[in-house]
Parts: sequence; structure tokens; C-alpha cells
Amino acid sequence: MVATTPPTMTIQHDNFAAFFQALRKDKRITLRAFCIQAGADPGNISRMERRALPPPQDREILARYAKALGLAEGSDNWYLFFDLAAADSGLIPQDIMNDEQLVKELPAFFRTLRGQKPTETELRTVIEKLRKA
Amino acid sequence: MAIDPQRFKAPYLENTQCWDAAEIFRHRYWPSGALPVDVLDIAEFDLGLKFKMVSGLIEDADVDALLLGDWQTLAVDQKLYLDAKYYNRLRFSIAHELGCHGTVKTSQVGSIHNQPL
Repeated sequence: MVATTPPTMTIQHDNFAAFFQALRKDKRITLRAFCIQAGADPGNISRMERRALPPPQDREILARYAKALGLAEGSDNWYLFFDLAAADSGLIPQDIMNDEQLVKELPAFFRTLRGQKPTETELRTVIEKLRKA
Repeated sequence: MAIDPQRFKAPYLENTQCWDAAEIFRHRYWPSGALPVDVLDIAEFDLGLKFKMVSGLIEDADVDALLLGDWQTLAVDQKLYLDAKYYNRLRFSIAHELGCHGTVKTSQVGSIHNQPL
């Protein structure tokens, strides 16, 4: 039985592999125990933790991994887990892409990231969308 | 702490030295004394060792587990690592490798690394 991380507790991370390892270490879930629980291949998990393999992109697989690591669905760490997996592969998280309205606002968001300021209206729209997402 | 395997010579240790080292190890890393000792847990989280899956390690090389030359990686057989029937043998093999790891770490034997081998 894996203890669930309190939603407020955020584990330090640089990338998905580091975050994954930190979660495992925090709960002392051995590689073997994790693989049995998550139905994962130990060779792939070992390579993924060494960043020799990118994280999976399949949402079902990631959800299985997140649950095996004791992450509570909907918690900050749950979303961070999926976001880091997407970011490591240069992708936008699937739940964002599923929201058509939010996708329309992404160009303004990217402009902001590049230091090109969006208009106040664009910014307010993005903030509102992100708040509701 | 890489060691040139060509120049490495295993030290001779008396049984009592090994037993004492095992006692110290258990007190330090498994103070509850509860059985079974989870050597995989100790290897990963107390000693910071990484597991590396190797295909055919047992079948081709007749090796159950191996502490690699970087002293930080434990190679195990990919096929049998998750096999429930093999689990106790795996634990035994990992415990053996932890003994090798501890041997290198102890000051007595660790000092050999400061001397010409």
C-alpha cells in the first residue's frame, strides 16, 4: 500500500526523471515494487530514470505510474507529473490540448513566454481560461 | 571511485570481521531488526545504488547480480528481476553484492585504494 502524497507537498524537480526518482525515493518504493505495482518493465523504467529513454506519452500509462507512486488524482503533483512528461518530449499536456478554447489562446501565452507582451485583453482571457481549466 | 579491475586484489577477511561488518551494517540500515531485511530498499535508498537490467545475465554468464566498477550500479537479470519465484535468490544475490560494496567502503579495505595495488 503506497501512501498518497499530500496535495500541498511539492517535491523538487528539474525534469521528469528527477521528479519520478524523487517520488520513489520519498516513499521508498523500490524499482521492483514499482514495476510490479504499475505493470512496468524495469529495464525501461531504469533507462527512463537515467534519461536514456523519454517518459511515456500515453496518458493511461502515465496515470498508472502516477497511481503506483501514490499521487492523488487532481493534486498539484499529479498535474506536475503529466506536465513534466509532456515537457520532456517537447509537447503540450494533453488535457490542455483537449480544451479548444484554451488552445486558441496559446499563441498569446507563447508570446508572453518570449517576452513579447500580449494585450491586456489577451492576457485576461488566458488567465481566465487557465483558471477554469 | 572507479577501480582498475586488472589491478584490483580482493583483501582477505576473517569470518569474524565479516560478521562484525554485517552487524554494523544491519544496525545502521535496518535498525528495526524486522525480518526479512529488505536489501533492495537499502541498496536503492540508503546506499544510493542504481539497478541496471541486463538481458541474459544468468543464462549467458551464470551471474545473478553484479556490482559494477563504478560501485554505484547493480546489474541484475532483466528477465528474472520481477519473477516472484526468483525473488529470494535475488535478495540473496543483492545482499552478497552489498557485502562487496560495504567491503570497499570500510576504512580497512577502502584504504587499499590509496595504495598501489
